[in-house]
Amino acid sequence: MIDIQGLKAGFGKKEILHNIQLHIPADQITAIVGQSGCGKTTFLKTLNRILEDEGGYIHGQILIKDKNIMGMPKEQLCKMVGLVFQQPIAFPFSVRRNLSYVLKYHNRLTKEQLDTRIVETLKKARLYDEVKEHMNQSALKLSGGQKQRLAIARSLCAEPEVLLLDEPCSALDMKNTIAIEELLLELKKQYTIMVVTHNLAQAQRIADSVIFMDQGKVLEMTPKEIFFREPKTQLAKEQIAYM
Amino acid sequence: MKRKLKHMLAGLVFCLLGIFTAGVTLFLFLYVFYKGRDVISLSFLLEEPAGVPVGTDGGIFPALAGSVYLGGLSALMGGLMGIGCAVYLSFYSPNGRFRSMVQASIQGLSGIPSILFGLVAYTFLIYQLGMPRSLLCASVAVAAMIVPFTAIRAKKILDEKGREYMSNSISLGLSREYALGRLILPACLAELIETTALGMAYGMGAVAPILYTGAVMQSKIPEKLTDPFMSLPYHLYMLVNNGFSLEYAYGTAFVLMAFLLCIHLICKVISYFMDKKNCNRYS
Repeated sequence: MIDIQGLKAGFGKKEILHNIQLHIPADQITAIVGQSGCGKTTFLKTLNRILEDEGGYIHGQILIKDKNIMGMPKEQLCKMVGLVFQQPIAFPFSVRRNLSYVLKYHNRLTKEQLDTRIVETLKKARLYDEVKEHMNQSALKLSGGQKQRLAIARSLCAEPEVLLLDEPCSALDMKNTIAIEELLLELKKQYTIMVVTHNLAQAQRIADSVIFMDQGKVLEMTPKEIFFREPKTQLAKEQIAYM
Repeated sequence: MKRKLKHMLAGLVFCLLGIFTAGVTLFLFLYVFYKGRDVISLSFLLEEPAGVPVGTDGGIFPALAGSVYLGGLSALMGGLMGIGCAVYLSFYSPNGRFRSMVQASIQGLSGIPSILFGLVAYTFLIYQLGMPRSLLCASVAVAAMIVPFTAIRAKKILDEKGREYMSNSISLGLSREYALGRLILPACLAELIETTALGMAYGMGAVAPILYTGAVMQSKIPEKLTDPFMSLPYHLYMLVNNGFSLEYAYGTAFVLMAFLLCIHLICKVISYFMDKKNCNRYS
């Protein structure tokens, strides 16, 4: 699904990611773990090239479904590879308009079609039951967990093939964390998902594969079971021991 | 004990400074009103200047109207340019030399004395291009003066509110223009209008840029952009500078101060209601 060859990225003269080679399979959850500052988020932001918008550079080859993303128009790429940021943001609209804002841009839909798509997407994001009575109320009033699921729903409106999530549960309580994790397990049937997390227990719960990073390098990428049973590096062993 | 004393002393000093600032403003208003109280009336606001020398009798209506025209026109030009520049810097310019150059030029422009805007506008528009001393030339000079004022403030507003909206929108595969038009500018509209109106008030109070470019001691309300015009600060300057009438000068000064205060208050009210409307604009 995603093939990465010789990926280098950074800001100005500072290289953050060093020569990354990876193959990420489709329709599964890949957790990216490692210590703070190891380059997890930077790596995630190379996959839809949003790093370039933040003033960074990306060198190397990233193929998604055999298409080189470096030559792809940015809008098309971001539609194909959705990114949900760490801080859940609700746009200052109603819940309904938070989704119609994206749907209207990507599709020509009648009002009925739009309503149907909004309901479908909210159901897919496991948010519909909680907001169905408040569709026309401000999304700013939603809780943190609801805002995060709204952000995921908004990403799904663009019909991505890959969904990237940057520490989606870092600001959430246990109940909302479980809700998001269950949602991701449901969504992996349709989407290739990559989640940055500093929580190894979360990676163990939801991931199929784990990418372990340190100082801008991928130290290992293995199926979850192998990573937690027989980590190759001493650093990974130490971190798993502290879980 | 020593720490508590320091805390109390610091509190007292800052409180006194606050009281002093508020006191200066209040004193200024009351003093100007007291000095001009005999001439301030409805007819002073609604009549044309009269007397010999002109301005020693009658009212200030053409100067009031001229100030509104000048403020409106320069805010339109300077506000649009300033906000446009802020949008460019916040959302379109890659980090690099050109961006730094634009930012440095805005900062530099904000430090230029206002008389220079008048001088350059006079030399270029009137002397070289042969345009008449007019509302248009004066508005261009004032607009150039308020561009950095609006650009710096608008950039701060857009950076604070719009950056996250923009990056979230781009990551959804939306274009920058769509995000700007449908989300960011509507979300920031109240504050951008307030900034432009404050720029307008700043421009309306300036004498130097209009001194050579269009303001005159006596004229009708301008009917065309190429007409000269009267303005409150210029009228005040002439009354004091030529020693015509201090009483009328203070009356004019009070009207100018009250007018600028009204603009600030109207801005606050508009901003409050627009923010409220934005919060309620659910669907």
